Amino acid sequence: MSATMTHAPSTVTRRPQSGSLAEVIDIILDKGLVIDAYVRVSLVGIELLTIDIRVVVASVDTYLHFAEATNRLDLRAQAEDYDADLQDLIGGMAGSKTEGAMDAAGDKASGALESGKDKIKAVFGQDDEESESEEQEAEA
Amino acid sequence: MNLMVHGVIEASSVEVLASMNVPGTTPPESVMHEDVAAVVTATPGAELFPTRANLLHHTRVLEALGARTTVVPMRFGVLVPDAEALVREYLAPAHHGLVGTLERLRDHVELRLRGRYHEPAVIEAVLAADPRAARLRGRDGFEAKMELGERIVAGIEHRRDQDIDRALRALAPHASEVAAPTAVTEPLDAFLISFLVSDGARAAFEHRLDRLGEELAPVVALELAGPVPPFSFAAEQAAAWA
Repeated sequence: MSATMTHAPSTVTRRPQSGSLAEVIDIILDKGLVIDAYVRVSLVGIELLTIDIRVVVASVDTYLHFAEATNRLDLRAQAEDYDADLQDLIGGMAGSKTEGAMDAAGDKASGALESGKDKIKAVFGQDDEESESEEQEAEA
Repeated sequence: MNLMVHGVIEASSVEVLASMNVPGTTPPESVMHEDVAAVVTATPGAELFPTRANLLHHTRVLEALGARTTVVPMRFGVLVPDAEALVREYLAPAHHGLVGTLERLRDHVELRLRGRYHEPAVIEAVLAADPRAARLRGRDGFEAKMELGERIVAGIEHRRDQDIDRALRALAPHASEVAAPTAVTEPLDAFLISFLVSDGARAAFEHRLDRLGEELAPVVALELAGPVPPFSFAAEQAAAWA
């Protein structure tokens, strides 16, 4: 986040192409024409992959992130509060009645992470032999 | 050898394939049927793996085509056994629809607009509108933090609907078609909307976009990608936003 984003009169960034693969992956996998009888790729696996990863990012992590971000807006108190925040979080997770819920969420998250990791391997593991020409392409 | 199908162009445009140079890959070929042509790459193996290299290849071919002529993009992963099957089972039966789609897309580009919330600015905006959140700010304790974070996220969600509406009101009048806004998955994403814009309306669209950027700053930062392959408008009849 640069300062210009806050102060520049126009904030429109223009990019001539589709951008990174992360940006286009959803679109090229679920939009465009299909020949139903000839789809020869497991699209279902790909969709699950992105959903699993997003489960991890959701809920508890998101709320904590925004609470921290909000509190960090107050710059004066930032330094000393940071230590207190950490203590507080650790205390909160170990001692409060939310412990069970946090554990359950943690288990779910690490389960999703594991299966996500397996899928990433399954999907992108094929890439090794091609990565060299890929890099040349990027430089070209 | 199986054929990976990238998209469909007008048969009269197939000479553009000769000028296409997608680095590190074999040049795409065409399979013609009457006045349409499918653009394909010969591919070994009976299955197409969604590897980074394969996904990028499909995307780059479509971008290179789109820069030269009108193309109807295929979804990634369509692999046909041979040219005869492609004509018999797709180009011939779908011919009427393909011609119509090519006509709809001719002299148009897809522009994809992404809005992102600038975190400090959107948080300040939510705090200003939610006194309870403002009181929770800086409060110690896990539960206070959870409630604060939850209220901020809810405040951003509430704002998002209004921002999508503002973007559509500003830009839809300058677009031939608008794809339904994509569901947002990251909390700081404001919206992702694809517009089909004619060459003639492009300047007016861009001008209005600059003004929209000014109106939404500093809370929303806008990013316009494109022209991109018109994936969002490839279906025979894309839903128009009215």
